[in-house]
Amino acid sequence: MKKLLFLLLFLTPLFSFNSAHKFYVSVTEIEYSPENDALQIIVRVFADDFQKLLQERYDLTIVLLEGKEIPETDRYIKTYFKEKFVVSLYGKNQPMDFIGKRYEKDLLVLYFEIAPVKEFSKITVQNQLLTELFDEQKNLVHVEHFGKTKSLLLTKNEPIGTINFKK
Amino acid sequence: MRHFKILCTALFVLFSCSIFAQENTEPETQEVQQGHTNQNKFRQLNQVFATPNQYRTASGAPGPNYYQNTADYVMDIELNDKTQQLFGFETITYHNNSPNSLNYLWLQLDQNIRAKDSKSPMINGNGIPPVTTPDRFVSEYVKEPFDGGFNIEKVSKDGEPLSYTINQTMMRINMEEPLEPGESFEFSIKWWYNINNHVTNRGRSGYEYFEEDGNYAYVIAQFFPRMCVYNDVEGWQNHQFWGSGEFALPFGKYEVNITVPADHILDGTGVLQNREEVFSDKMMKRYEKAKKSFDKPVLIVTEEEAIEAEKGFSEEKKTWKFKAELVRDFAFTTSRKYIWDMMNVKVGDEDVMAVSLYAKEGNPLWGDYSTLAVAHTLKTYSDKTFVYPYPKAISVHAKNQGMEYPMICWNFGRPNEDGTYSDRTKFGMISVIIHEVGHNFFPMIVNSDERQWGWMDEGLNTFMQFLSEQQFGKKYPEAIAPHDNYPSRRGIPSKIVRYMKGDQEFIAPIMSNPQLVHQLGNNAYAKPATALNILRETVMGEELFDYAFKTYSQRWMFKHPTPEDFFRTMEDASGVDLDWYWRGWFYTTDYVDIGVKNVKSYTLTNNPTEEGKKLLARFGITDPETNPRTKDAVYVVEFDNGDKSMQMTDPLENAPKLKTYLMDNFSAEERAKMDVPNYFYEVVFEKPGGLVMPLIVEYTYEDGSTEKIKYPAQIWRKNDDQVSKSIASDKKITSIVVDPDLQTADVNLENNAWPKKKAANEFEKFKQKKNQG
Repeated sequence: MKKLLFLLLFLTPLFSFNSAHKFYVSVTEIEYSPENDALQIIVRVFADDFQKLLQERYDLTIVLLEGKEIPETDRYIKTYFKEKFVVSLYGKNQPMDFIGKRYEKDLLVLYFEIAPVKEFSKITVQNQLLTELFDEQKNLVHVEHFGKTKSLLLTKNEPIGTINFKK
Repeated sequence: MRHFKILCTALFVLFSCSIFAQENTEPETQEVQQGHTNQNKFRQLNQVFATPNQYRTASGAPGPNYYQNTADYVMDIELNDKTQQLFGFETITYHNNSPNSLNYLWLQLDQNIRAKDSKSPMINGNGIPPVTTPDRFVSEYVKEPFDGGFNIEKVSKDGEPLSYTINQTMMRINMEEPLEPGESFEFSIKWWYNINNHVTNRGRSGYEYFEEDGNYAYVIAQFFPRMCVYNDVEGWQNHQFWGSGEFALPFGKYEVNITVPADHILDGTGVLQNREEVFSDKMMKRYEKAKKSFDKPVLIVTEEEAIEAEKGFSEEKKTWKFKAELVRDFAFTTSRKYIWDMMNVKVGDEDVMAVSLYAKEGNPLWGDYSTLAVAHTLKTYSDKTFVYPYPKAISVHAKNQGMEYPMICWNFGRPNEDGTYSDRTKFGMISVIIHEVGHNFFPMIVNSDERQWGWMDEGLNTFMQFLSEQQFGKKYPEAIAPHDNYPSRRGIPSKIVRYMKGDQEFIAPIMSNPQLVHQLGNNAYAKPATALNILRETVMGEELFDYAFKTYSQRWMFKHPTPEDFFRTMEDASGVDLDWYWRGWFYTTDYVDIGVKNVKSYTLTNNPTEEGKKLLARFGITDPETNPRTKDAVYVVEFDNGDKSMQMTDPLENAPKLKTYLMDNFSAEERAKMDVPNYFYEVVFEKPGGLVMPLIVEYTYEDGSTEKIKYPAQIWRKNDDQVSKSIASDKKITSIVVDPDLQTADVNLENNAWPKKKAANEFEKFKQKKNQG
């Protein structure tokens, strides 16, 4: 028991909050579009956090600023998402197409698509974005299907969640 | 003309009655109805609020018996820059101004959150990751934990030891005799602790280590045992420090002597008492110059001098002496790395020194913007609250920090190593400085209880930050180019939509303790800031809001307000009943969703309609065409009723009796001035969202002209789901849009327009743009 307590102490970030301090959060919106037979995915991350991650993981010269990106940036983003962001439908991991990205103040907005996709009753999302860099990272995932929105709050220690939908 | 008005009134009585009649034609298959409690969204908050009393009045002002206890501190502090340890001896004089006897006193030992046996980290649930890297494994499982927390060496009164009990982050002084009302109690504590690295461990205070030159920069706060607040609403504030809830502190006087290496540059809360002792002659001269500089900062210590100082390590010591009055806390910063600049700001009639301290790593950004941002904040906040009452405000550059104390705060924003910086870094830095300097007003002076109610200081301050940022953009357009407005992150209604429409499982009412919520940034900062911004812009109007907000600030300046004191004052000083707004925005997680349900157009006729007949029958008139009371009645009929003989454009042709009535009763001149509307509409607005809001509608007419009408929120008082509006118009309406300027944080725009417009799908818009190249 003593050992376990000791472990727990160290697994948790000690201090998670300062007054105007950053909150380590990403927000993902996944929507099923019946017109396009597609799963449309929009991911918002803090650009400075994500830049730091890409730099530490791949290449120190990566800059996430409009007009200052290096040519390999999108390739790194695709590689990273392939490892850290996985959507499964019908019990199978689905390949995602990277549509593009844009900047929105201090955010980086990323667009992905999974197609073709039919209606589904169950979706599993694994989202480990940024968790290897920030212990406190929280990744919110909203999924809209059949006009209903359901959400997951994924973290480093609980990176996978499943949502069931009924028509 | 008077006659015509009466006629029109009668006409619309018929019209609205007919709708009323429609609503009652529901099939009568309902079961026996049960009673219910008052669930009206406009009911008053009396059942939720505490009953007003002698301490806190119903108007939101402090009552005649309002009291607050005070704590005065005399402290000798010494920093060991070699071992990163802090030593202190403090004498506290606690004044019991309450009407109650106190059997014990409580102190806060916030440093204990870092103690080896701290329970604070244990309240977070977690699992064990299935795989991890070797260095992470070592740091998480193997390394010796940081040995933080207070080492309390002695607690004494007049040299005699006092009995005390430590309960995690709190300490109780066990009094031999109770402290009676009006009495004071003086006692001393000797302590020391190991200072933590705030960059790697996070935390609001600590040091940053600069590998390159081997120096430390210290930002030191909640560093001494501090008195808890005792008051009429909480008794002793007894929430432990778990990490998220910040501080609740009494006001008092401080005399603090801080001893550091002689080559350190130091500043902190209060007025420096021995400037000539600790300043060089050069610094004194520059300081005198800074006192006269109102437009730009004067360097007290230059970058060259700071770089030179970095190379040494003085074995000598220097003691910096400060005095502060009417402050709730004390904090300081010290390092030999510091560049130091100051300028004078006229706030009201007062001279206030705006001050910045930063290592060379902060330049060029810090030299350019920090002190300017401090000065701007003092002016803009003072304008909306009260004249800043302290002699100075300091902004200190500390990596990753954003934290506030009286007269001093730590702020992030560091340029790249080559001296370049992005807009993101620049605006992040200016915003955090405005925010943290702004905290001097809330909660350093308007001293709400942060540990209970994070939003009372964070929300109000983030709202003020938004106003101040927008003014900064107007004042320094060159600093924000190419933006037209300062790119504020929080405050704009559309920015809160994503949060408010989220899964209810992960959102909480604003009226929640900071420790209990999933998304504190949205919960305590963004949502209350947006709610206040909407209240100001869309519900109350700037003038009424600003007067009431200023009243609140001034009433509770140097006092301890509760949420109710804020809610009540805002209503009391503005004459606007806001219970519905507080209830919805602050006590629930409801969201705004208002739309247009359907639109019907009507015209007039003299032929009795079925509905008209039914209605008249209720009044005993069964022969409307021949009954003298109603033979000239004008009926309203849905335009699209298949009767092709009717001309939509001229109601007088459709209702000839109205025409003859006008001719019989009015002169040609009078008739010429009359305006008989050509079009009649009934618009049904729906409100699927739980929040009550004003109904803002833009009508667009055939000729392209538009008209915007704001129906007060009270339009929903009798029916929370839908409401109809009858509209008489000369011109044909071509479209109706609810909340056209996105002022209400409406979470669903799909139902906002008639005719229906498919709200642009963000994803498809982006994809299309991408495909077009």
